[in-house]
Amino acid sequence: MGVVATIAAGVVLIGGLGGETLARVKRNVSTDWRPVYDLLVLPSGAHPSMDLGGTEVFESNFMAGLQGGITRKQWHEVLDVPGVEVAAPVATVGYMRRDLPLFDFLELPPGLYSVDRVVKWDNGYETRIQTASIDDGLKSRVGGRKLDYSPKTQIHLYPPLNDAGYRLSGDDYTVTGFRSQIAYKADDGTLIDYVEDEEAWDPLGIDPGGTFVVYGIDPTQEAKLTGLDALAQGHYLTGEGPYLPVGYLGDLRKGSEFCTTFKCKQAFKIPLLINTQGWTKTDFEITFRRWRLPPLLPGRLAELAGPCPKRLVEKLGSGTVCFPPNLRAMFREAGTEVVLTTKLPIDDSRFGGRMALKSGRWRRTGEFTPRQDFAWVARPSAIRYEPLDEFPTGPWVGAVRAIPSGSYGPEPTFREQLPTSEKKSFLEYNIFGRFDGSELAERFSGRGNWLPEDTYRPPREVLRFDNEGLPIDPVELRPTANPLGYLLEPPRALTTLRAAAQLLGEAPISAIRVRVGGVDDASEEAWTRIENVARQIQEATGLEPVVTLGSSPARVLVHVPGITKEEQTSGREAWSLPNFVSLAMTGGPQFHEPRPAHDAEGVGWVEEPWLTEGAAISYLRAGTAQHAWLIAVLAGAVLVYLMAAFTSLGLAEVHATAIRRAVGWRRKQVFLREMRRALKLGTIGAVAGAVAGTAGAQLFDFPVEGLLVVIGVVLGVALCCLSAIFPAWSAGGVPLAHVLAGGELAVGRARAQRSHGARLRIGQLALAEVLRMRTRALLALAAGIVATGSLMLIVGLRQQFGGSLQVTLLGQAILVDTGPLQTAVTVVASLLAVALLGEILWQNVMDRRTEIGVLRAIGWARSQVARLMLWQGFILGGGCALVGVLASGAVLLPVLGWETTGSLVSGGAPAAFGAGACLGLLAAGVPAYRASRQSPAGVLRSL
Amino acid sequence: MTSGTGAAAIELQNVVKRYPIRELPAVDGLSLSVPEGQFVALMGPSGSGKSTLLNLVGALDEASEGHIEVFGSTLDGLSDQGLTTFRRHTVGFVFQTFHLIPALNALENVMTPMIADRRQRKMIGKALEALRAVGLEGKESQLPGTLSGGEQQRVAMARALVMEPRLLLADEPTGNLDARTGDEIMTLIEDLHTSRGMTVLLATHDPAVALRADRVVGLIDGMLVTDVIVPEDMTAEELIADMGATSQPD
Repeated sequence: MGVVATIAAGVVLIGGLGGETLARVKRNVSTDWRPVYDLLVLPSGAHPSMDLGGTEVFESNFMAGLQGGITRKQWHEVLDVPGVEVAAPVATVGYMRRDLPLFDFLELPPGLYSVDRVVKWDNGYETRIQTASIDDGLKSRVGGRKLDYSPKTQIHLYPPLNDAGYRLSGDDYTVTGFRSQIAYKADDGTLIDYVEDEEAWDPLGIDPGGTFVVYGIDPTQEAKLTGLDALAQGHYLTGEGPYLPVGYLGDLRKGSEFCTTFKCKQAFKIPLLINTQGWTKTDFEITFRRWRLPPLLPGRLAELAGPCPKRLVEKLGSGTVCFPPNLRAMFREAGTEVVLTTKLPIDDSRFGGRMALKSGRWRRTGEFTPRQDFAWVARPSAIRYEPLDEFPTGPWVGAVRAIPSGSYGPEPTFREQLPTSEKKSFLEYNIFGRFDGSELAERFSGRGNWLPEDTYRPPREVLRFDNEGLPIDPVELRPTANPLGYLLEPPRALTTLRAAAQLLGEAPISAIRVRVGGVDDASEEAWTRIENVARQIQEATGLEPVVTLGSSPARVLVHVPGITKEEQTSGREAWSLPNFVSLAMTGGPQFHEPRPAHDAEGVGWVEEPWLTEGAAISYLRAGTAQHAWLIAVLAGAVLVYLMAAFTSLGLAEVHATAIRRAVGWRRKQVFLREMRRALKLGTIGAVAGAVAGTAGAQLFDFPVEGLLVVIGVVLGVALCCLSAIFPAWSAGGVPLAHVLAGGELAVGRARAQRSHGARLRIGQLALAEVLRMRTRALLALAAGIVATGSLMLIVGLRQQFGGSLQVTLLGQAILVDTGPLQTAVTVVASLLAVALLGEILWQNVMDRRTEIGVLRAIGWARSQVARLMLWQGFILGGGCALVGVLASGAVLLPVLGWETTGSLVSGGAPAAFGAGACLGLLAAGVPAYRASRQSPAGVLRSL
Repeated sequence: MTSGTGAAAIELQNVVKRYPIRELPAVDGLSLSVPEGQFVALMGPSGSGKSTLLNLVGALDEASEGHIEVFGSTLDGLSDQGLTTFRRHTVGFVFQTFHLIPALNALENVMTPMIADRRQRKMIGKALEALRAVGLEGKESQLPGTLSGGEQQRVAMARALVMEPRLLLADEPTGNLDARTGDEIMTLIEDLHTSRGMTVLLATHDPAVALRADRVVGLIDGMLVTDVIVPEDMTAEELIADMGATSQPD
């Protein structure tokens, strides 16, 4: 009865838990299966998918490698496809350098200053430090020119002395020619506002960490897709506003200094919407040194000034004065004093938000005024990867190695520079508003539906192993601002698609994010509908749609190596993008010579959320299948379990049954008697079990429907009757003469030990007994197979289910949610298994009290009797568990395949043997101890 | 037939055994002295206390009152370990229903007492010798289920004798056997008693079996009612007459 109760409780619990698990899977998938958009339309041939271990995935940061390729005409064709609700394009405009004028937020007394600065970039796993001293700085530019202080070179001052009114008197100097390193503050406190000087570099402009990328969007479609318009502060990119929504050719700087330098023909003016959410981190420590200049009278200056080379005079004008080398020496002799050392934690939020607006003079004038900067229509390629067969073990779908292309600045580069647009240009931009990208990221980032190519958030990349493959404390990587770097930032500024088109030409769009109408729930129908729309888009435009609906990021391990000088690609042009990168990373333009390559150490193994398509649908199917399997396994286990239990019961009553048969009962009558008993036991046990199961369900805090309880009871009774059929029929066929003669059921000949003088040990005796008591051993074997087999099946299914979930974020979310339920199912199954094996072994010992009494009578100590029983429990429990594992492996093989089943069996066998042996010891030891405590006479007398 | 050496092998003084569920004691103030080497048969109807007396002497059970001494060892108050050692080395048991371990063959069954004794060496040789002594040579590999009742009882006797005990306790050893087989078993017991000088305490209903003893003790309701020395020429009828009600099976 206890058996049946346990089973009925198990039915209720496992049925309830399994149903709840499935419900949670469905709920998770329903909630998170739909990302911001259903389709990602890419230029033809741009789908960067890769087959890793049979799973089709594509890299998380792949938008960084897409540089246009879709025309606006194609975009309109996509919009016209029936079923397309939103089609929001993204155009990669290019990368801009970002800097800040220092004097906007520093107060310094009048004088001549030099600056030393320390810049720290933190990319998550390491901090790179770069220092720039006065000596380094003086080798830098003045007004875009190289300034060389070597003794052989003269210092060129520009503009000419007479135009700028250079004064060299006392401590106050006006030496604008040094403005890249030396700032001037006049007596009246007036700053030389370099920003106002449109021809000048901001001399103390701080580059807060490199470049940022600008995307072109269609504001209307973007608003429909993301609701960005509601988040914008200032002006959004649509409607009325003090901006020009279309990029246009500004009044040009033909012949101007910059256009000469950068060979630009045109300048564009574009509106910008700044994303204040930043991801890179850069700190500055700046030391100002005030120069103690020697007293020089203006007349002395003339003396010092020497003749200029003819070419310089021709270029700069007749008033150009050139100073002899000793002028610098004089400066040096006088020395400097430290006036101020300050740290400027210019994080991205400051730059992207307030500071950017401030630098655009929002605060000062209350109006937007144009600000100029570079826009380099950089075309970095996607990173190239090669699949790896060997990688640290873990829940990854596979592993790849990123292939570096070189080393510029402080980090290796991983992207090739593609041919750039003809219209690489100098830009003017107006900042008209800002928004916080994190609000969008929050809005659209469900636990499982976040897409790596999502516009407003970089992929979450976690460094898990060092370059040698040794595990480390997980570190989340930050994107770098290097456009050829490994992990790039999401766009920090948005402009209009029309502006982007002006800059980029006819095919500016890198990708179109499409949302399909009429998709309301997670279902096969929804999937089909979206695939139909994708097919139509492909037919209409020739573009390549990727179905993102139902997709989920999958965990891929990426080896990010370093690079040595020897590996660096040679022969790059001085004007190549890496130089621009160098500019960005070092804070000052150094276009004249390539920056030397560095040996760069490898980063290590990074876990990335690559994208796998259709995961949500797979989970739904897997969840349903697993639920069905759980119930089937449970029913099968219960059936065999009850058969073993009824057989055991029949054996215990074999003498009584033999007597009934001997006095005239027909076999059918014995059978019916056994069946009636099974029905009675089944009913009582099932009801008791259902009550216990319901109570257990309350304990686990999940609802159990009344119908489920009824099903549990009916199933318990039905299984009970079904399983009793064979044992009941077998009971009637008992060998009457043999049993009534007092014979036991062990038969046949057993080989005797012939080696005289040998000792027979208790363990050997136990093994011999186990092997010869076939019925008893078979019963325990059945129990072991059922117990360990059902447990293995459930664990195997759970592992398979969990394994498939573990590799994606949506799957992880489901796993986290259903983990406790899965554990509860396993615990219930384990308890059933333990109850089954334990009961059989217990019964086994209790049936052998005679033997215990005899052994005690002939001089066995209690401990020796207990040892014999423990040995047998160990053998039966461990051996049967082992056979059970193998049997369940045979069942699992067609479902899970060789590899998974093999690992499951090889891993589970020792554990099952250990657990079975322990259980056997426990189940045999306790009754054996109790029996051995009884008086031998009492035991023998009771028989 | 020997009549004992004179020194007391078993000494019972006012022994009482009560069971919780029985109103009357199973053994009630019984005093008995059995000299070493004597063959004593216990007779009495069912429930007269024969088996209980054997269990008490064999240290399978403990007396509620009184004093029991076997070969100079006082059983009262002995620890379980002491009682176990006593049974192992001093006593050999033969039961009516044989009580062989069904999963062990004849040889292994005979070896079971020796397995419990770590000091035992050459177990198999001794066990084979014991089997040979009871006439079962060649049947050592057979499981109990394949042996006849008489053969099973012989195996049980070999098991009882393999540790060479000084006292053999036999509880209705022929009760489950036909007359001829029973006679063979009794002959075997007699031979062992004679050849080894073993003290034998045998419970039986059968006067013909009892006649093979040196002495017959009659029990009724746990009390000793008759104590008869059996002359060699005594007939069953005479014994029945002497034993009175104790010779009645029920």
